[in-house]
Amino acid sequence: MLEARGLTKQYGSQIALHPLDLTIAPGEVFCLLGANGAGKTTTINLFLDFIAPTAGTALIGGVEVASNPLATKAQLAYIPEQVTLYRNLTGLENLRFFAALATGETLPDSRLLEILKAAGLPDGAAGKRVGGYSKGMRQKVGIAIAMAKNARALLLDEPTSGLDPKASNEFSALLTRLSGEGVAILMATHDLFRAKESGTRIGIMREGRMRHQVATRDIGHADLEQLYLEQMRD
Amino acid sequence: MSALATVIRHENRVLSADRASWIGLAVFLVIAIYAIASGATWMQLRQAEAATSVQISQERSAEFDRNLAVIEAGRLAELGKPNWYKRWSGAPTTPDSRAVLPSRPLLLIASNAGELQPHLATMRPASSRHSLLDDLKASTQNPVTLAVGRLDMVFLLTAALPLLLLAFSFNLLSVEREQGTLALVLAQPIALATLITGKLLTRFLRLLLPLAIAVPLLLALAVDPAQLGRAPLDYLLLAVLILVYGAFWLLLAGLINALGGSSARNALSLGGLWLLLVLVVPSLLNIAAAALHPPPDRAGLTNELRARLVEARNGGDQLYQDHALEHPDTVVAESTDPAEAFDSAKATLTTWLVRERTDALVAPIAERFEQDLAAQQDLAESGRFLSPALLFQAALNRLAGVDAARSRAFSAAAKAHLDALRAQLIPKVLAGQILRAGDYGGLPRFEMVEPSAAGPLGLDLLGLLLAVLLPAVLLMARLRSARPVIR
Ligand SMILES: Nc1ncnc2c1ncn2[C@@H]1O[C@H](COP(=O)(O)OP(=O)(O)OP(=O)(O)O)[C@@H](O)[C@H]1O
Ligand SMILES: [Mg+2]
Repeated sequence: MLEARGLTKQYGSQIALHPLDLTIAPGEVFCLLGANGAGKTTTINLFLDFIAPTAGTALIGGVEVASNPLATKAQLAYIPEQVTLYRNLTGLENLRFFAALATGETLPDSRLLEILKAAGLPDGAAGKRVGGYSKGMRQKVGIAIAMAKNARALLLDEPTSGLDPKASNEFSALLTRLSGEGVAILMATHDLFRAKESGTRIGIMREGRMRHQVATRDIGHADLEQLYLEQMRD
Repeated sequence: MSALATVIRHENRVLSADRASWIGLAVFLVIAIYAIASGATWMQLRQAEAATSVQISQERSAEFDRNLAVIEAGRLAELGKPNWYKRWSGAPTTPDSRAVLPSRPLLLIASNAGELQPHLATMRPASSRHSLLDDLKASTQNPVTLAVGRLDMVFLLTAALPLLLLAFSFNLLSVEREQGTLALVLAQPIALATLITGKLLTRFLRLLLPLAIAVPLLLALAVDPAQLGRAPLDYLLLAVLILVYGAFWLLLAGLINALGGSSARNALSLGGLWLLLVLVVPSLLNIAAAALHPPPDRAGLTNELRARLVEARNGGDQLYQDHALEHPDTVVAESTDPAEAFDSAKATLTTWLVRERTDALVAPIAERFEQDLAAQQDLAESGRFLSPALLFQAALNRLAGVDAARSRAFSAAAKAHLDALRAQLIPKVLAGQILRAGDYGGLPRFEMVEPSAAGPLGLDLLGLLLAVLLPAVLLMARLRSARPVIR
C-alpha cells in the first residue's frame, strides 16, 4: 500500500534521507524509530508531497505521489505531531471542514459527533471553541479527522506525544483495529513501548539511513531497547 | 461538495471571527459616509453657485429687455434711471452670458479635482477671448496629485480601499502556516491553487462585492435616488471599476502569499507595493510632468494679462482714431439724438477695440500657457498606465466629469459661445447700432459640447484589466511551478 523506491531527500549537501526502499502492506503497522534528525519526518513528508524527492519515488496504492498528489492524498490520512486547528471554531466545526475537504462529502453532524466520540473527545467538548482545548483534546480531533476520511493508509508523526497514558493506550487499540481493517500505517515515534505494542514491524533510522528492520513478534520489549541503543552507538 | 465550495464556506466562518478586520471595515465605512456626505454638500454648493449666477444673468437680461421697450416708447423718465442708462442698456457690448459646465451625477466623488476645475465663466461680446483664462486658470493645477485637500471618495477608493482589502488578505496563507493548520489542510486532497482561489473568492464575494454595490448606492442616495435610473451606466461602471481595482489588490495579496513568506514579510511587501503604486509612482509622474513641462506661473500670468490690458486701455483713444482713419464709413451713426448716438457708438467701439487689442497682445502668452497645460495633462494622461491606482483615479475622475479632457472641452465650448455672441453683436458695434427690445431674447445660449468619454474610459478599464491579469498570471505560474512551503 505504502511504498518507497530509492526514495531520497537532499538539502544542499546534507542528505536528510538516503535511498530508502520500503513496502508497507495493507494491515501492517510500520514504526519508524530514530534519534532527532534521523529522517522520520522527512520520510512522512515525502509521502504527503509536502517536499519533493531528490531521487526515487513514493507510491501509495501503486500511484506515484509526486505526479499525482491529489489522488494519493485522497487515500491518505495524516496526524501530525501537533494537531493545530482553527482556534476560533469548535471541534465539531473543525472536523466538519476537514472531513468535507478529505472526503468531498458533507457528513451529517450526528455522524461527525459519533466520530469525535469514537476518537475519545470528552462529551460536551465538541461544541466548544478549540482555543480552549488541551493538547490531547486537539490530538483527538486530529484522530477523528483521520477516522472520518476512511483512508487506506495512515501516516502518523509522533501522534501520541502529549496524550495521557489512558488515551495513548486507546490510541494503540485504535491502530490495532484499523490495521485489522486493512489500513497500512506508517508511524514515526520515540516511544519504544508503543512501537512494540502496536507495531507489526519496526525500522530504526539514523542520519537518514534505515539501519535495521525487525518484526515485533520476533522481539521482546527489552530486546528492542537493546537493539535501538546498539544502533545509536557509533 | 467541491473543495472550492468547502474552502469558501470555511473562510466565511473564519473571516466572520476576525474582529480586527471588521473594525477596519466599519472605520472605512464611517469615513466613506463622511466623504460622500461632504462631497454631496460640496456638489450642491457648486451647483447652487452656477444656478445663482445664471439666474442673475437672466434676470439682468430680462430687465434690460423690458427697459429697452420702455425707452423705445420714449418713457425713460419712468424708469428713474440717469440719462446714460439709455445708451448703456442699448450698447451691444452690454449683454452678458454665462457658461456653466453641467455636473455629472457622480461629481460628488471628486471634490478634490472638482475644486480645481473651471465650471463657470461669465462673458460679454467685448470680453477678451483670453479673459476666459481668468475663469479657467484654476486648471493650472497638475491633475495627477493624489493626496491633496479634502477627503473625497476618489482618494478614499484609490488609496484606502486597497489598505482595507490588504488588511483582510495580507496573511491569507501565511497565517495558516504560522498557526500550523496549513499542513493538515494540504494533507487533504486539495490543490494549493484551489485553496488560494477559495480564499480570494471569499474576500471578493464577502467584502469587495458588497462594497462595490454599497458605494454607488450610497452615492445615489446622498444626492437623489432617482439618479440611479437617470444614469444607470455611471453607477454600474463605478461598481465595475471598484471590483476590478479591488481584484487587483486581492490578487496581489494572493501572489505575495503564494511566495511563501511570513505574515510580517507579506505585510511589508504589500505595504511597500501599496506605497509604490499609490504614492511613489504618482509623485514621480508629478515630478516628471513638472520637469518636462514646467507648470505655467499663475501669478506671472495674471500680472502679464493685467499689464497688457492696461497697455491696451491707455492706448484706447489712439486705437479709435486709427480705426476711424481706416474705416471712415463705419463709425458714423444715424440717430435722432446725434451727439448721444455718436457718443454711445464711440464709447462702445472703443471698448471693443481695446479688447481686440488686448486679445492680440495676450494671444501668444495665452497660447503658450494653454500648450504648457495641455502638455502636462497629456503626460499625466499617458502616464496613468504606470500604476493601476492612477488608472483607477483617472477613470473615477472621468466618471465624475472632472477630467482634463472635459475641462478643455468646456473651455472650448465657452470660447465657441463667446464667438457666437460676438458674431451676433459685434457687427452692431461696428455699425454703431444699438440694441432693440427683443434682441436679448435672440442671443445665443451656451451649450456644453460633451467630449466622448467612452474611449478614454474604455482604455482605463482595459489598463486596469491588464493590471489585474499581471498578478493573476504570476500567481498561476507560481502555483503551477512551486510546492507550498508548509512550515
Ligand atoms: N527544510 C530543511 N532544510 C534543511 N535541512 C532540513 C530541512 N528539513 C529537515 N532537514 C534536515 O533533515 C534531517 C532529517 O530531519 P527530520 O525532520 O526528518 O528528522 P526526524 O527524524 O523527524 O527528527 P525528530 O525526531 O526531531 O522529529 C535533519 O538533519 C534536518 O536538519
Ligand atoms: Mg520529526
